[in-house]
Amino acid sequence: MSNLKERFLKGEKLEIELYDIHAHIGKFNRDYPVFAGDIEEILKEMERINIKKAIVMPLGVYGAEWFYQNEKLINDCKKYSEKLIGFCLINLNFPEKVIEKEIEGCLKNGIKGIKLIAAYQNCQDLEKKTEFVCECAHNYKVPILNHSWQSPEFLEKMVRKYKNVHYICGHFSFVWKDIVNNYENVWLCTCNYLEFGVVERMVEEIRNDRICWGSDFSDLHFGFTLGPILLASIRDEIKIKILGENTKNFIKNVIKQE
Amino acid sequence: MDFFDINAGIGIFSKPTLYTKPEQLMKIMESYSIKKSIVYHSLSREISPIEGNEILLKEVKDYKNLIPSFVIFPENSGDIENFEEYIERSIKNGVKFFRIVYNTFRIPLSHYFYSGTFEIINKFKIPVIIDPTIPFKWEVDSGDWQSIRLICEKYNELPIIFTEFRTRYHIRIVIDFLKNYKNFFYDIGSCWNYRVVEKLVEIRNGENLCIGTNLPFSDPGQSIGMVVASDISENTKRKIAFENIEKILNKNE
Ligand SMILES: [Zn+2]
Repeated sequence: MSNLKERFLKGEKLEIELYDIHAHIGKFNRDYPVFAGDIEEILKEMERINIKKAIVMPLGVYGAEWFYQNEKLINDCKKYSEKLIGFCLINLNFPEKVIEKEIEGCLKNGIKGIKLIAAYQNCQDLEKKTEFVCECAHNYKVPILNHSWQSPEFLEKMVRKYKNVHYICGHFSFVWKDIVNNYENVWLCTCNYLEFGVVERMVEEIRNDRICWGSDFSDLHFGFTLGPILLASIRDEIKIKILGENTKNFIKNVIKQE
Repeated sequence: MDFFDINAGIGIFSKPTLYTKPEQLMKIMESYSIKKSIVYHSLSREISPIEGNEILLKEVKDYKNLIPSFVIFPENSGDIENFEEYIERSIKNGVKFFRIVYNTFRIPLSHYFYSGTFEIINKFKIPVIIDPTIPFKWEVDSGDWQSIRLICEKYNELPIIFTEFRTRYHIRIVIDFLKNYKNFFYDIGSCWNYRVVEKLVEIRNGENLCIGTNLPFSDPGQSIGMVVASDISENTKRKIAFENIEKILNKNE
């Protein structure tokens, strides 16, 4: 049995550094009460799980008061800059001018990337608006994490057209497999409901240096996303890459340093 | 840590799965430190409880750690002649849990209540697992809470174990149920929300929580991970992982 698996099942400390490519702060969500959602409590949890750094985005993804949510994000990321890397929430229902101004303002205030989640915002003109954000990101040379890139064809079109952007697929699916495998600047977050056997297939079929663990805190329980990886029948060195090293590399090579 | 899984299937489902046989399930259980599982049969879950239940009993008879659960129709459904006799015979044959998957058969859960089904089960005090999820549809928040409330209130000594594919919005309801009904049990593998285990153990010290893997469909690491990685005492983890459900089972031995 893999050492990490055995230790995790025994409840022992894993002693590996985790880097989280997909997480949320902000304390409120429409769908459920956010338990222990204060930023200080979240930082304590990160400490307990041994997460060195997390890419964080606002939790109220449906889009109401997105400027206010980004403001809160900016403040928390400034205050805890050694732990948190902020990606601003964009509400694609708003005019392009407004979107661009918000991106610009956030980037000036220490935000390092952009988060899209149009599916939750009931947005029309999805591809046109998403492309507009890709163009902005290309001009500012910042990454985008998208909840879903609509289709592999659309993502590939963006990847080929806006080459300064690093693209993160926010939730795991095999539909992104070929693009992740074929391009240097596409990253895949592990977070999703996973069917039995999927993790083994994932590391078999997808380049291992682009698969990054995303906890999706404070939306999802840490155990829900950690368990499948730590208990999978894959080598420990791959688990360590997925849980930490890959995102650490992403942060080192893609995120602009101050 | 040892686990007692309340939700595992065997048999051939309407779509291919990674295992079908009890011996294969036993191997998977071993790999995840699952010591016992409450199992049901694919045929019972998807088409025919009556035939599926019989196959289940034959298939698991040599595996003492696979605890058989029968999927049941309501009384007077026309599927069996004498419901009470069927329940009694099932128990004699070693069935330890009944399972109600009402959405598969498009029967309202309230009909199980009003038709007197629970009246009969309550006589024998056999715990009932209620699962509204239809395999491969994987809907979220499908509990019929009005009916579960009726059942929990009237049969307040009968353990009612709720499991579903995913509880998201309805966690606001589950909290209320755990607080108000001591016979209401909840499979924490159903809710993936942040810090939810930590929150739910505040109610009755986690005595009413248990764990289901939803094998053969889901990665068991998800629900097992939620117990292992939780910020709760080792003692409470053991209760959720194993002891709470073992206690229910032993009551009926
Ligand atoms: Zn998210």
